[in-house]
Formats: sequence, C-alpha cells, structure tokens
Amino acid sequence: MDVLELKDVRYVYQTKYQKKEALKGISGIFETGKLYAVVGRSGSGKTTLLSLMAGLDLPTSGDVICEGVSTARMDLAKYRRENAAVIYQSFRLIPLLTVAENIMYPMELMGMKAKQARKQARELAQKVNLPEELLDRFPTMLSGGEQQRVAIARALGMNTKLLLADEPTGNLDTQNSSLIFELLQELAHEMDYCVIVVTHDMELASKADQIIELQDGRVVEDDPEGGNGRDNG
Amino acid sequence: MIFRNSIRMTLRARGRTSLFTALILLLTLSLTLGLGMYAWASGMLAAMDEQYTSVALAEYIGEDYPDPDASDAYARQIWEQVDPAALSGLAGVQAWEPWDETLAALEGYERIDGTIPYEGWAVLEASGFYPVNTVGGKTIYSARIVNTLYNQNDRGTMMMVEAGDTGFEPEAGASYLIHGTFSDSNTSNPTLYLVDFDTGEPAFYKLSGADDPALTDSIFTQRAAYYAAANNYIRITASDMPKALEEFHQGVLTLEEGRFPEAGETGVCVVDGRMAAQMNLATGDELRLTLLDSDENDRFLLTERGSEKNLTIVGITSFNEDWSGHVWVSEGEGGFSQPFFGFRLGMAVLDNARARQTADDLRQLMPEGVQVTLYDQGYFAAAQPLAAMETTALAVAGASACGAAAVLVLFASLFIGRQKETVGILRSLGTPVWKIRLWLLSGAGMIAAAAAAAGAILGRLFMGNMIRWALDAARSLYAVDQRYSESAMGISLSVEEISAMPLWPAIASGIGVFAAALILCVVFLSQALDQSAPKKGKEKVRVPRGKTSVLGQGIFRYSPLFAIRSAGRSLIVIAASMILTLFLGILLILSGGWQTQMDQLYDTAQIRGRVTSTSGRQATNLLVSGENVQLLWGSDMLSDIGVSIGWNYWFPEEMPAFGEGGFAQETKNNWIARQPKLTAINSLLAAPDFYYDEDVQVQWLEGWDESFLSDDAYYPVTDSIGFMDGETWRQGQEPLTYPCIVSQEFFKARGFELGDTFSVRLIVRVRSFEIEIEPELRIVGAYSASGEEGIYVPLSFWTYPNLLTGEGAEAVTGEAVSPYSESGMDQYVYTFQRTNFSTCRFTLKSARMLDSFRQYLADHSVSQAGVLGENRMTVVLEDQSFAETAGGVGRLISFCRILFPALFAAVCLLGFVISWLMTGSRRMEFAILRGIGTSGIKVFLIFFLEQMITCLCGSILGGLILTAFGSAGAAWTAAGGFFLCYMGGAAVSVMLAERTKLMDLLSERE
Repeated sequence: MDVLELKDVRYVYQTKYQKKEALKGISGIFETGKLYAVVGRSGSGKTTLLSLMAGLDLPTSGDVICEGVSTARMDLAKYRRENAAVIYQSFRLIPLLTVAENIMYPMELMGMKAKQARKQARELAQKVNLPEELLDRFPTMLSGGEQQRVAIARALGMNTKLLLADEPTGNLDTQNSSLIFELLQELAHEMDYCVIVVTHDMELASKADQIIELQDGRVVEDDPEGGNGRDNG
Repeated sequence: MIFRNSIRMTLRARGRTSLFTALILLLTLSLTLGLGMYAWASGMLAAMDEQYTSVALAEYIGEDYPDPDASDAYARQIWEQVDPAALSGLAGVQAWEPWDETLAALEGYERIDGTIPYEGWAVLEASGFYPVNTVGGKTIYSARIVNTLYNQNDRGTMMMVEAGDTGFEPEAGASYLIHGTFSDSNTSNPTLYLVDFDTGEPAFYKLSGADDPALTDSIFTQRAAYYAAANNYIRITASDMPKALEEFHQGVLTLEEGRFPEAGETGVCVVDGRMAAQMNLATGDELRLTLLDSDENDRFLLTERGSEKNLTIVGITSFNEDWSGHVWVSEGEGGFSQPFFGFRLGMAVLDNARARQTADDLRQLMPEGVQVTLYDQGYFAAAQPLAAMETTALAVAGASACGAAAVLVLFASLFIGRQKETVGILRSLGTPVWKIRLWLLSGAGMIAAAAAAAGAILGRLFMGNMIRWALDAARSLYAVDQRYSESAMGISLSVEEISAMPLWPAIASGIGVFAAALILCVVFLSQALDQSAPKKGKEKVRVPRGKTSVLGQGIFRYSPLFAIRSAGRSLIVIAASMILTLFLGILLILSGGWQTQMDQLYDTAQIRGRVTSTSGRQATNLLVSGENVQLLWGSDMLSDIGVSIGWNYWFPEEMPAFGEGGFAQETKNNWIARQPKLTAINSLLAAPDFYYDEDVQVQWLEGWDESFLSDDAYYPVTDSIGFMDGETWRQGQEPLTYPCIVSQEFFKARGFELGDTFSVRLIVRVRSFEIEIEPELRIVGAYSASGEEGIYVPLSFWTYPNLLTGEGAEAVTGEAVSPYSESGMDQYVYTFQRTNFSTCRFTLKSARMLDSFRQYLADHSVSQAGVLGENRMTVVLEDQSFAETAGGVGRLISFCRILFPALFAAVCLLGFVISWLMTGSRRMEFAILRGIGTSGIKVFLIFFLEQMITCLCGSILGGLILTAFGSAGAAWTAAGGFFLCYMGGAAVSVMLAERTKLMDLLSERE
C-alpha cells in the first residue's frame, strides 16, 4: 500500500550569502511493509529529504503526498502527529521525562488517558526488547542502544504507518546497530510499517528492501525504468 | 602574524565583538560620567563650603529689642547664664563668640548720623535776655548766644529761652551759663528749654565776668564735655570672626579697602566708610580712641575709663549712615562688655553642612527668651541638590563599575576562556604557549582598549551637558517654595559654578576598565589553556529525580512535571521570584509608609506664623494694623489668630512726683515707658512674654481657663469713659472688673492670691486723646515665667475679639467715624481699625494649606523677611521643621513614583532574561515536542505554564513572608505585580525560543 509519494520535490537553502539547492526534483513512492534505505555522501540531501518526509518543513517546490493529500495542504503538526514517526540519530528523548513518559507522550497527545498509555508503553517496550525495569528511569541513565529503543518505542506509539529514521545507528556500536536495524526490518516486514532509513552505512543499507542513493540532490538512477532507487532483493 | 590573525579573527566575530564593544563603551561612558559628576559635585560643595559662612545669632528678645543700648536686668541674667564653653563644645560649632562691644571717644569726630543720645542738649553762655511772651504763666525770653560750650548743631546766635520750672528770671544785661534742650518750634529762632541738672543743680548760672571760673570748671563745663563725648561716641566691636558679624555676613557693609584684622591681632582696626570720609581717614592712618565706661542703667551716661587705644587702620568699609562711627577690632583688643547692654548675646560660626541641626542644638542650650537665628546665606538650599547629585553620581559610578566588572568577566570568558578550540588547534600546530597567549590577548585587548578609550572620550565630551542636566533635575526635585519661610532668612549667595570639567574621571575610567579587562583576560587565559588539555576521568551527567507519573492531563500534566524535575532551574526561578517580590513589596511598604507618614504629617503638623519686623527677627513691639489682622484672617486658612496690645502700667502709689511743665511730662513719660505692661490679648499664643517659651504653665483660679482671654462678654475699657457728644455729656458704662493673669513672681512679691482684685493705672489713647484710666483687675491665673511683671487681660479690654474676623468692619469703610459717636459698634470698629497690635501670631487650619497661604500672602503683596512688598506687614511662617520633614518624605515618594514604573519594567526584563536563560537551554526540548507533533500553542502553554508555576511559587512565598510582617495589601500587590511582569517577559522569551527552525535543530548531529 502506498503511504507516501514524492513528486518532483525540490528544496533550496537560502542564506544571505549563498543559495543552495539541496534537493533537485526527487520523485518516488513508498509502500508499507518495506524498509527503504536512503544513502549518499555527506551533503547529498538525504537528511533534507527525510525532514521533508517527516513534515518538519515544506518543499520549495513539488509535493510530499501522504495518503493522497499534499503536506502543503495539511497542518504540519497534525501531519507529524498522525502520519510520520521519526527516529533520530541522537534519539531526541525528553530528558525530564522517564522512559515510560517519553513513550507515553505521543499517545497522550492523541488523546489517550495516561494510565492506558502507560500500559501501552509497557507493551511497546517489550516489543523493542526494552527491559521493564528501565521504564521508570530517565533517558540519561540509559545506554545509547537503550535510548534508541526508547525512541523506536515512542515512534511506534504514534501509531503511524510511516516510520522515518535518520542515521538511527549512527551513535551505536556495531552490535547495537545490527540489533536496531533488525528491529526496523521486523517492523517493516512483520508489522507492515513503511520504514525509511537514512544511513551512510552501506552494510546496513544493503539489508534494506530498497536503496535510494542520492547525489547532489538527485536520485542516482541505476535502472532508468525502475522506480525510486534500486530494489535490493 | 599573531597580532594580525588574532585581530582579524576577533573582528570577524562581528556580532559578539560589536555587542561587547558597545557594552564596554557604554559602561566606561557611564563610569566616566558618574565619576565626573561626583568629582564636580564634590568640588562645588567644597567651593561652597569655602564661600558660605553659616552663622547663628543668639539674641535676647526682651521688651527693648532691638535697642542695642538697652539696659535690661533680665538680659544681664541671661548673659551670665550663657555658657560659652558648652556652646563652643557643641558638635557643628566651629566657634562661639560672645558679643563684645564698647563705646569710645575719638577726638575730632562729630557724629551726624545714627544714634545721638543727647540730641538737642546744649550748654551755652548767653546774654541779652529779654522777655517776649508768657505762656501758661511761664515767661519766654529772647537771648543771644555768646559762647557755645556744647551744642550739637550750629543754631545761629539768637534763640528763645523757656525757663519752665527752673525759676530762671534773668537780670537785664547779665550773662548766664545755661543748660537745656533745644526743640524745633515754629518760631524763626530755636527755643531752648532750660532743664535743671539731674544732680539737682540749677540750669542757669550768672557769670561774674569773662574770667568767671565757672567758664572753665563747673558742672556746665563738665556736662558740656560729657555731651560732646556721649553724642560723638564711637562704637567698637571686637571679633575674631568679623566676616560672620551680621553687618558683613548679611552684606549691609562690605570691606571696600584693606583687610580685616587677623584673629587676635592687636593695634589694628577697620573703620566705617562714613567716618573715614568725614575725617578723611585712609588705611595706614592712626586712631587714638579713649574708651568710655557706661553707667549700668544708662548706656550713654559715660565716663572715661582711663585707657586709650592706638589703632592703625587696616580696612575701610562701605558707606552706610546707620553704621556711622563704628570701629572693628580683633578680640586681641577686646574684652569690653561689662556691663551688658542691648540684646546681642553672641554668635556661633557653624559647619555649613549641619548648620540647621546645630542651630536647633544651640536653641536647646539657650535660656528662655533667647532667639537663635540661623543665617546660612542660602547654603542649605543650594547644597541640597548638589549633595543629592554627589550621592547619585557615586551610586551611578558604583553601579557602572559593578556592571563593567560583570560584562568584563563575561567578555574575558567568551573571548578568552571559551577559546579552547582555537587554543587546541594552535597547540596541535605546535604554537608556543606564549604565542597562544599573545594571540588571545591581542584581539580581546584591542577591543577592550578601543571601547574603553571611546567610552572615556565620549564621557569627557558629554560630561558638561550631563552635569547640567543632572543639576537641573536635582534642583527641580529639591525645589521648595520658601516664600515667607523662616528657613529663608537673610541673604542668599550665588556661587559661581565650576566651568572646568575634571579630566581625571575619564582617564581613570578608561585606564581602569582596560586594566580590569586585561587582568580578567589573563585570568581566563589559564582556563582556556587548561580546558584545551585532554580530559581525564568521567563526565558528570545530571539526572532528574522521580518516577513515571500518570497524574493530570495535557499541559497540566507535563508543565508541573517539568517544573518539579527541573529542580535546580525551578529553584532559581522560585528564589528569584521570591526575592524580587520581597524587594518590590518592601519598596511598596516603604512607599506606602512614606505616604502614610506624609498624610499623618499633614494631619498633625501645626504650622504657625507670625508678623515680624522687616528683618524677620523681631516679633514683639510691632505695629500690626487691625486691617492687616483682618487680611490674614480673611484668607479663611487660619484656625486661630492671636494678637496683643499693651500699655505700660503702674501702681499709682509707686509713681514719683514729676512736677509740671514740658520737661517734667517728658520725664514722666520716660518713667512710664520703663514700667511693665498690661496687655490685652485673645490668646497666650501671642503673649510677648511667652513668644519663645511654648511650655507656659498657668495656675488657674477654679472655673477659669485661657478661654477668658477671647471672651467677648466684657466691653472695652473705653466704654466706661464719659464723653461729650456734641454739647451733651454722655456718661460712660459702669466700669468692669477685668479678669487677668499675672506672673507667679509678681503674685508673690505683692502678696496677692488668686481671686484678689487690684487696680493699676495706665494711659490709653483714643484718637488724639490720651486718657489716664485705672481699671480694676481680678487675678484668675498665675503663669510660671520668671522675671516678668506682665499682666494679661482679655482682648475685649480694648476691642471686641470678634472684630478680628472683620465682623462689622463694613460699617466704617472709607468713612472716619468719631470715637464719640452714639453708635457703640461703630466706635469699636473704628477703634479696632485704628488699633495697632504689638504682636500677631496665627495657626494654619491645616498644613495642607501652607502653599495656598503663601500664595495668598503673595497675592496681597505682604512683605517677606528682607523683601518688602506693597503691604509692609512682614510675615514669617514657622515651617522649617515641617518643610524639611515633608520635603524629605516627599522626595522619597517622588523617587518611588519614578522608580516603580522603571522597577516593574526592570522586573519584566528580568523575567524575560531569567525565562530566556531557562528556556534557552531547552530549545531542543521544544523542538522534540514539536517534532512529535505537538502544536505550537501547546508547546508554548507547556513551557509558559511551567514558568508560571515556578514564578507563582516564589511570588506566593514572598507574599506570605510580607503578609507575615503585617502588610497584606502591599504584599499581594507586589506579588501580583511581579508575577504579571515576569510572565510578560516569560511569554516573550518562550515565543522567541519557539521560533527555532525545527529542521535545523532536530537534524543537528551531536
């Protein structure tokens, strides 16, 4: 099922001294049940692309279309709340909330009662292999891998079909990286999420269902007739 | 290379460099201005202290005040009581100098101005007596002056001689020595009234011939010499503080030539300009003065003391007729004043800065009946704004120095301390440490030097304008309406303002700021070098406390959580809120207290006023017209007005026999004038005896009190006098017995008791008639003042008290009504209108009317002390202590009015700064919440509510503390005010923090 469609997406960073076109007409369709890896060199535009897909900003031109509606015509906060969950390299957990509260927050944002959200948070923690005794701890008390699992649990708590991850293993060691990537694969394949991962780790990217390589803001086309990027299967 | 790169690097960090350059410049500027203003104000105060002399004059205000030659036993008692050592030892008294004056004779000096004690008296050799007329049985002769033994003025050669009671019957062709007094008459020749000598010897002596020894040695020649000496006396004043003498201090006389004698200097003197001109004297000339002794009872009954003074003139004063025949010497030539004459007890030179307080202290040490008048030449009024400016400037300089220190610490920390990356890079490139130091210091030093120099130069340039502005502001703040005030007595000097602005504040500020910057940079240099070194050990991580909570919902769930878990940050806000609430609250309480104090002051202060002589010092023996009393009362701003009018009284059996004739009447009049007074008065407030004694105790006959003085149940004593109405004799009313109060001393001396009646005799004047009356008086009270023989009777003894208010006055407007008219009321009104009261004192209904009353007086052109208006009545308001207290409190209230809006704005700014600091470090939290999909308004509310909770805790805590100290109103006003201001600032800071670009922040790599 198509979750997200990019139509000729362009994005220009403009400062007083320079104007840089980060994305130069990216198009593509993303489906549920698949894990996508966006790769490319530093400055190729992959994080910009992910940010636009996450609804952190609107493209300069072109459209990011979610379930048939352009983000330009949506309330971006609502879009982020209901359609796109993001996992960051630096986890982006709220330091003053416990692990459970971090996971509960998006659920409560959607109107769920706290007690029910806590119950749900426990299940999600279990799902991401987070020991229950960590739930009452604060993020700064956890290791990187644990924090990333909390971030994933929080993203899952948002109950969206689209799961975006920006270098999710960037701050983790090799063992934790593999575990997290496996978890993401599992989410895509077994829980029918559309998982889009930005990474520069080609080894991990090779495990994705589809790799989209960006270069200078453009998708590198291996197969001119293919869709976005190349299938990895 | 090091310098170039360092400076380039610093300049390229444009925002930071500009900000700190501006801050250092501004603070140096402010420090320069603060120090400059302080230096200028201090300089001005020092210059004023040199130019101004504050003098307190102590004067005995007796019945004869201000007669400098009066002989008063009570004044002598007071003179003895004054303790020079105690007065000199009083804090703030630089020197106390008792009055030291004597009379002397100077050969060749002929007095033509000032007091001439025996004016008109003459001792003559005359002949050619011829009877020309007879008046009242006394023969008047014409005569020719053969020889003048003494005559003040040349009166030609012919005169008329009235023998009076002397029994003078000249023989035809005989020559006589005669003694008498000239009077101006309508005849072409002057008339000499013969007067026997006070020793009893006759006023005439028949000469036996040209060699009669009486022409060379007789009472006639002695008295001629005596008159010559007494009438041409020289007054010598000895003082080591001549500039503080009233005549010089108040600018009546100025030293036109030469100098004053130095303290203790002998053999030199200053003479008055009139005498110098008259006798053609110049500095360097010698004067030979013969000192004269006065009789204890008569200043001008003079005898030679037998000592002479040879003095060299070292100074000559300006020309003033009233000071004619005056010589000033130092105390080295002094030590004359025995016995004491006049009213001047002495003077004290005071420290200018505390003159008012010292004058009050002096008053406490003075015996009853002594008035201490402070003449500060306007120092207090002129110095007050300068002192305020000096203090403010010091505060500005202090605040600027503190601000500069804080900014410089931040500056050094940012430009040096936090340059660990640069230091690290330089180190990695193998740069020697000294070069790294130079690299860092040169850039920061350049900024500090440039900014400090610019600030100092700008400060120097704007200092003049700033001082002018600050002085104007201070003067407007301290501007007090001193019209009619007792605090504005005497002349006011104007001091020339220092035009040269001091240079040292600019130099000190510039160098100081630069040096401080450099020192701090050096201090932070070691920090930067240390930080760039590799770290060892574990890094500390802050972990919040608490467990997962499920309490609350939405923003009400997360805001309290954030507030509680931000423990340290929240505590800072709570503490800051509490302290600032307390600060505001205390200020509000103080301000409220000042306002209450001011209200109470206005409600309770009793402002009195008095009519005085034009100098403002004499408040008794005046001539205050009835119209003027009504004018004062007509202001409708007085709660009471007290007046008095007195007549010398005597017990008939105590009057000596004076004989008859013109001179006998004069002698009798002089005797009467020396008798104590019976005073008609409506309030003890205006009693001359009690003018300088507020605490008069009266022992009353049962059923009597002071109110009888204003009781109009008695008709005036003149109503009892029978009179001719046309050709009809009209019997006066039945004479009344008037109640009276007398002194306890009088009471005891004459063996009276309360309730006794007695009669005294006195002369009252009704129109042009002088009528001797003998009213009966009943003693209803005895007052405690010592040495007084005054008798006080109700004002209605003379006129109805209600006429003070102007009632019935319309009846006589513009019309002369005969005092012998049939209309009783008209007569009273007329009497009142023509009455001159000798004292007049009043109380304002309310201190709030003080300014309106001043204006009322000014509108009616009433004179001020030393400033004559069209209406010659001079009024002095006794408002000094009220004005000082009210002025002080008023200034505090004004400060608060200025301060509070600024303070609330500052609190708002502080709220913004604290919130900014608190939220600034949490931008990532904002971004995460928004990244998850929290709406902007919700994020704002979460953080705003968090700030609100912490601020509210602090404000409530502060409010509770203040309430515990009993000021709930101010407490909650302060708490509420602070809370609103803080939240205003917090809202702005949260909104600004929310403007972060999500994409940039969230995708930032760590």
